[in-house]
Formats: sequence, structure tokens, C-alpha cells
Amino acid sequence: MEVGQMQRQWVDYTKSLFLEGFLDGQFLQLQQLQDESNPDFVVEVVSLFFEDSEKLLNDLTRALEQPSVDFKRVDAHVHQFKGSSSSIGAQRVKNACIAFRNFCEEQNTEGCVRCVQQVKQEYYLVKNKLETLFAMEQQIVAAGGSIPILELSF
Amino acid sequence: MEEDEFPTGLKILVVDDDETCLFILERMLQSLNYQVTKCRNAEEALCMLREDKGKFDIVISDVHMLTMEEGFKLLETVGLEMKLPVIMMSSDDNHETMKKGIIHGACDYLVKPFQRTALRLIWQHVVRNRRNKQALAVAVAEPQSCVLVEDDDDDLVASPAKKRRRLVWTAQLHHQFVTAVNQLGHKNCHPKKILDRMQQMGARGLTRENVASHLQKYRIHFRRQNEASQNQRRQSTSTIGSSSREPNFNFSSSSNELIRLQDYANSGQVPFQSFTTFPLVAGAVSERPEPKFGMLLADQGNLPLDSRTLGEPRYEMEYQLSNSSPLQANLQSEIPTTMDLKQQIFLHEQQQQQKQEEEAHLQILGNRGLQVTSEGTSIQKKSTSLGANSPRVDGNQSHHLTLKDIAQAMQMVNGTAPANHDIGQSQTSLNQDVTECNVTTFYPTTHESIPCGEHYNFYINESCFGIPTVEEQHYNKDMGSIVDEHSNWDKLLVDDPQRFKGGSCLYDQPSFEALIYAQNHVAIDDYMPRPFIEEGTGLPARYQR
Repeated sequence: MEVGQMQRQWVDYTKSLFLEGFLDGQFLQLQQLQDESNPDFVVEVVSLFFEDSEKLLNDLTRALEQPSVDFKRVDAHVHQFKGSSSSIGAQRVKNACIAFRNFCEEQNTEGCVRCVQQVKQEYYLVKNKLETLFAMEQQIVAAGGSIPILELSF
Repeated sequence: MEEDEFPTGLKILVVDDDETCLFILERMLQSLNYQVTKCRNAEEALCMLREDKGKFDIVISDVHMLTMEEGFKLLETVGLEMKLPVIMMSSDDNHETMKKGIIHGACDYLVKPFQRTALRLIWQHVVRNRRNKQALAVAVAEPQSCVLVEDDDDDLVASPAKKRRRLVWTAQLHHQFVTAVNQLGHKNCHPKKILDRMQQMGARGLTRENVASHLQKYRIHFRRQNEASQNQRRQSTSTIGSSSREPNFNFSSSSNELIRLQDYANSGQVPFQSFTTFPLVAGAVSERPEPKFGMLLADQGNLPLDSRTLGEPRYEMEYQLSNSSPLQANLQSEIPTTMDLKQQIFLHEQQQQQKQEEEAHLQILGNRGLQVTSEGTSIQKKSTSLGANSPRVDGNQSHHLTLKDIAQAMQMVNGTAPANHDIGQSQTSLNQDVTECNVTTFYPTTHESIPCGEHYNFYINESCFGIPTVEEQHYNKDMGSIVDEHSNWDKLLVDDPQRFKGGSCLYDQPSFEALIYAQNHVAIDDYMPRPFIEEGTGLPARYQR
């Protein structure tokens, strides 16, 4: 595949991520922060997010497996997850977290357990998508091309 | 990316337990040319801040670190200890949390996720914080010289204290004032012209308002003196004569005037005829004051005039009004008690007063005197007591006249409860004490034609109050003096050059209205003509602003 084609593919893929709600405007912010002096910023941030999220989701699962669930703690975790996911623009993850918090408030264990599943699902989805996107970017760069600047209007 | 106008390199400490956010924030701030330091918890943050207080200009902190409280605690600590501006941030957009942040002192609250643009202007917080600190420092260092005010941007700035500073009328200023007044004469006696003359004589730091208010007081001074003299005239000899006067002095409010006039009277140098006008005080005064005065003169033939050294600033006298019945009986005549004098003016405005009412209020108020202390001289005055209430006071007790007393008096006099505006702006001040804290004495001029009394400015709670008047001044060309319409005091003085050349008279009681004013902390510079205006008369032109 030649560079131009790869680039077009990249653009289409990115657009679809936005259109399907996996990513929101915040992701664009991250892209804007990337420049010559910080060429890999987006990748770095997202990688950081993945790391944190793994830990967080594990903590969350364990917390809900306790005989007596500490909802405050659960809520704190969810809150943080919400924060970090929204920072990178992982919109669906964020929304799942919001829903999760409601169940925490209600102290509904079952609801929370379901929510955890939901959040995890969304998380792995967006993780997958982003990894795909980054792979495409690498290919473009490897082929001597540059990542197109996205101009999306919402 | 546009650059900010603020000098780059602002040092920011970012505190958040979320690594991702921390990373993003750092990048964002760096892209704005700020210098960023990250830390993951409050403890670490405080460590770094305490290590070097000048290290950071601003702190951005997450609310929810471990616990929410930690975020707020950090906020407070930074604000108190380091006095740095703190911006709170959170993905929590709950209004309560935001409010809490602001209440705890956050200068801003950002909701995550925020965009780079939200961070562009945080330098403004730094500037504002610095300005506030500076203003505070100035204000603390020189509390007199400036006040903290909020300017248009709600920033604190130290601005020069407004002109409500008390102008102290020094002896010198007063001399200049009186000289100017004399030179100008009654018709020309306008504050502006007086001010010009005074400035020609070297007076500095005066405003027209200062002069205007001083002029007012000056006029009142004479008028009250006159009223005092009216009262004395009617006073029986016995009460006056029986005082144990010692030269040294404690001197009661109006008794001073009483004595003085008697002195003058005694000297025989005051012809009755020189009294042409008299104050409209209660009914009694309005008719035939002259003869009364004459009577007084006649009666007072034997007052000892001992070491009364007029002309000395320290002239004080102890005057004792006994509680004896002669006094009571003579309450019909106006005994110049503290309130009485004050009442004079008020009554005058009212125009219709019964002697009985006077008696009544005398009883209430007559035993109150104000103790005034002079700045330059240590004149101690004692209050005297009339009536059954309190005995004569020895020693430097200050008697506090409260507005309640005034209100009571007014009630008795008028038969009605005083309206708010009569006794000051609010009823709530009724129970406050009116105390004087500062008195300035200054010396009379030696100008031949002008009797100039030594008189006091009363400062109550730093307010220098004057006495409202809408009286016309009459200038007695023959006498070459400023004569208040109702004052014969100066005529007395003029006619007795021996006594009064360079003489002094003490005038110590603030008027009723003055007290009210003081209570309201109205600066004399702000003085506006009070609404004690008789029906049908407008303010004389020169009083109108």
C-alpha cells in the first residue's frame, strides 16, 4: 500500500472512531499538543492511560468481589477512571463510568458488577481501536509519510 | 499556538494522583511556556512548596486525591502558608464541590477534561494574587495612609485613604482662620475666600470643606456662648455663687460659661445694651433678654474673681451646681447644663418650648457632663450634676452621654419620640455611648477686634463633628467682629478688651446635634446642612452646595 492510501485509510478510520463515539473532541486536543518537540505525545499519553486503567480495573473488580463492598472506595476508583478516560477522550468509557457511579450511589452491588463489565468492555474496545490506529500511524511513518492533520468539525 | 502576553516561565506545581491527567496537564502547560512540576499527592506537593517558597507561582491541584478532603486541605494550606493562588480541578462538575473549592480559597475551579485554552489565562491569577499581596502589605504597614479597595476587576488595591482624615485645627490654623474671617468681614465670609486668605498666610492642607465646617462651628460657638449667657442671666446668684471655686480646675461643662459671664458681668464692663439679639431659646429667651441680663449683672456683683486666669489655655474651673432646691426652683431659668446648651439649638429649631420641658430634660441630662480631655493641655473637666440623679463627680470620670439620653430628652422636650433623623440615623445607635476621645484646644487670637474663643473640637471615634446650623451670621460692623445673630458673646469680649484681648473662653460641650453627628461618624468634611431647618426658611445661599 502506498503512503497516500495509508493516509486516507488512517483518516477514514479516525473519523469513524469519532463518529461511533469511541473518541471525542478531547482526543483532538491531545493531537494538537503533539508537535515536533513532542512527536509521540499522543501515543505516550494513551499508553499511560492503558497502564493506569489496567490497574484500576483490577482494583475495581477486586473491590466488588469483597464480601462487603466498600462502595465509597469503588466510587473513588470509578471517579478516577472517569477522569482519566475523559482526559484522553475515550467517550464511551467515560459514559460507562458515569452510569457506574449511579449504581455506586445506590449501593447496588449487582448493578455495580454489571457496570464493571460494561466499563471493561468499552475500555477494551477503545483500546483495541487506538492500538489499531497507532499501528497504522507507524506504518505511514515507516513508509516515509506523515500523519495527516485531522480537521474535524463537530 | 499563540503565545501569551505574560512573561513565560511561570512556575506551576501540578498535583494529581491520576498519572494520565498529570501527563496531559504538564504537556498543555508546557505548550503555553509555563514551567511545570508534577507531583502525585498532597504531601509531596507541600514538601516541595515548603522547601522553597519562591519556587512556584501557582498551584493546580485535583480535588479528589485519595480523598476529597485531601484536595481541599492542600488548597487551604497553600493559601494560608504560601499565599499562592490555587486552582482546583476535578472531573466532578458538581456545583457543591465547586462551591466548596471556591469557599476554601481556590481562585479557580476547572472541570476536567479541560482544554488547553482553559489554562492559557491562569497567569492572571498570579498577577492578581501578587497585587493583592502587595496591597495587603501596604495596608498593613501603613494603615492610616491607605485603604484596601476593590477596583474594577475586584482586585484589592491600596488606595490613599480618602479625605476623611481628620483635619486638626491647630492654634495656628485657627488664628489664620479668624484673621481671615475678620479681614473679610461678615458679608464676605465665605469659605472659599477664607481659604484663600488662609493659604496666603501659609496654611496648607486645607480644603474648602474644612474651612466651611470650621466656620460653622465657629458660628455655633458664639451662638452657644450667647445662649449660655442667657441662661446665666436667669440663674439665681446663690447657686452660682456658692461654688467652691478653686483655681485649678475641673470644669464643668457649661458652668464655665456661666462663670465667665459672671466674671464679665462682674467686671461691670458689659453694658446691657450691647446685647441686641438673643437666641430663640425656649419661650423664655425670646422676650426681653436684656433686662434679664441686666438683672443678672446686678445680682452678680459680688462674685469673686480670683485667680481665674483668662487667657490661659489651662483655664479650668470647678463649678458646682448643688442639688438644692433653689436650683430646682430656678430651673425655670435655663441652667446651662450640658444638654441644655445642646438643647438650645435644637429647641431653637423647634421654636416652641416650654420652660417646664426644659426643667424636665435638665433633670435627666443636667447631671451629665462630658469629660473632655485636651490634647495639648490637660484640661480635665468634671461633670456636674443637677438633679437627684448623681452627685458631683470628682476625679476624671468621664460621663457618657448616650443617645438614649438624648432621645429621652428630646422626648421630654417635644413630647414625642424623636424621629430617626433627629437622633441619628438609626435607632440602633441609641444605646451606644458617645464618648469623646480627642479634644483640641487652641488659643485665641490676639486680634483686637475679634474675640476668639478657645474651643474644642470634639473627636468622637475619630469623627470630628460640627454643629449644624442654618443661622445667618450678622456682622457687626461697629464691633468689627463676627457676631452670630444670637450671640453676644463676642460683643462681650470685644467690649471688654482687657479681659479678652488674647483672652480665651472655654467652650466645651458639644451640642446635641454634634453628638448625633459624631455618633453617626459623620466627618466634618462631609458635613452637609442638617435638616434642622425651620419651616418656611430655606438654606441661606452660602450654605447651599
